[in-house]
Amino acid sequence: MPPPLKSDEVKEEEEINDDDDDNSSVFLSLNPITNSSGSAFIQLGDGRTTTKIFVSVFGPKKTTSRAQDERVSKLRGTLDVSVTLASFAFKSLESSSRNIKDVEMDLTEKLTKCLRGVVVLESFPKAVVEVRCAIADANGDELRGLVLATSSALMHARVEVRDILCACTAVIEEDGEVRLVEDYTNTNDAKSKSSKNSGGRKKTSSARKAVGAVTVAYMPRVKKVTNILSVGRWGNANNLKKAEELAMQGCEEVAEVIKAAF
Amino acid sequence: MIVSEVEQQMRERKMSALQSLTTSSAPSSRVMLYTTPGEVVDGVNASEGFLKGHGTQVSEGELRATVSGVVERVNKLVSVKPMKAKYTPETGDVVVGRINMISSKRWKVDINSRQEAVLQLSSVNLPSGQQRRRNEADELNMSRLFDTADVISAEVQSLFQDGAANLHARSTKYGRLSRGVLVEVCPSLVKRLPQHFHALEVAPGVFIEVLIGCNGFIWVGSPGAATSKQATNEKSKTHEEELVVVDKKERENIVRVANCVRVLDEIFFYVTPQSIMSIYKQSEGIDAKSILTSDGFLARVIEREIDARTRTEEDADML
Repeated sequence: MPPPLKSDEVKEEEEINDDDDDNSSVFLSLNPITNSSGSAFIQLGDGRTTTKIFVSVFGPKKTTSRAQDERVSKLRGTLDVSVTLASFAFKSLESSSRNIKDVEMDLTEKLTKCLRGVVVLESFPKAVVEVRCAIADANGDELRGLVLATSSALMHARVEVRDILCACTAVIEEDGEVRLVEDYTNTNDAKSKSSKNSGGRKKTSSARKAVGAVTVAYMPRVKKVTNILSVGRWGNANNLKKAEELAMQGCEEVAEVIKAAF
Repeated sequence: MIVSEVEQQMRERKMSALQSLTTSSAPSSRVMLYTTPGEVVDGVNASEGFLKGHGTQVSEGELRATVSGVVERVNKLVSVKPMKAKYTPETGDVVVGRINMISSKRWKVDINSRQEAVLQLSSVNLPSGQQRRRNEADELNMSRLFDTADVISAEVQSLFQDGAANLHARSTKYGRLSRGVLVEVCPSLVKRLPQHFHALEVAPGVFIEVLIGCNGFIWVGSPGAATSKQATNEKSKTHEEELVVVDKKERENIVRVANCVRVLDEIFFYVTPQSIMSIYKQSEGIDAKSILTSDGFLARVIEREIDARTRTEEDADML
């Protein structure tokens, strides 16, 4: 089973500011990498426990002959996604045993799945759009960060997309409470430090322990879900449904904020 | 970095001018509709019917945008035009491009679009105006005509199915460009005009030639560099023969015009001969090199534009 890539402490507030704002739990900026067609930087959380991701988009440009041989259709373009982790992205000792390559491949696959159906591939036949993600700091919820940053970078590069793709994570706690997780730096500072990136294993030391988490990638205005990734124990189907709905609501709010930035 | 007080003031002035330009001075006659992907395009009535243009999609009977940009409508055709997209070639466009590589009987040309453009050997005229002989020697001589990294002007003849352009240079006005500089601007800043070759009179009797390519590549050169290529009976010129020293005064003029074009790109104004000349006139008295770096200059340019726009609005109101 692939290791789940969320911490149980996530946050719900979304803020997009041009300046650094210490109070924001999500910080998103556009165009940090100026020689790309479009790029975005996202930081989830603040203080010492953050997830920082850079995404740059190149193209649409002509395909290399290698790619052409393999998989390029004449009518559609190709989306070439890759995720790389910085060697210093995991800080805790516990995570050093994780194979970085495995995590990269796993995240690449998940992100590709989320983006499927979002990019209008027919708009750039025989060309390729390269999405390059670099995770500088991995402290949980990477997939959500990747989706938000990639979606912004694609729009910034003026690649045709069906909607603003957003992602939100909802968790279920031991006592059965389902919530969009709060800012983990505020609530679980001490615990998150000790437990972050423990290979996705559910933490035992956390006071507000989550036993399951679901990340939903959702296009709020077209009203289509592109990916649901659920891990852990949910008790019954209703809990999962509730969590998913909560996450979708969160996505709608996030989309409004991102929309304002464009 | 130490910033002097004056520079700081100028920067602030530029920023505030830019701010007021974006907020207040949009011409009231044109209502700009700005959308983001996924949004239903305003003012489109599904029951009346519409035609899906570029940058849009139909989802459950409704027309939605797929890029963030400005809505454009021509009768029932609705499209969304992104502000900073790559160039989309159209038949008849005059473009400036750089030769990327030479392959068999064709050149691959970078014209800032999604796909490389193709210029076939059969669709160029020899500089001498002679008829081309279709033989191997001719193919081997391709690099004498246009070599890799050469900048050329050409016209879009047709489009391939995947949107790549097929170019032709079958007129004496198209061909290799020399004695000038290439400036790259955002393709959406270039309007399609009846004439893309211009000779700007920068001083009485002094001309600088400008070729405004529809793809956002702009060639600024000394007279005769881009336009008025005369068909001669001489043998085709090689690179070395074309190398003529451009004197310093002319080089300065070229650089000044080129920087004026860069200013237009920086403040996102349309690139037209008139707009280039207006910036050029304002730049008099400033070093060519400090046109781009001086915030004070940019501030003045923007303030003048605001003035001009408010005046036209007032005129329109009076009428």
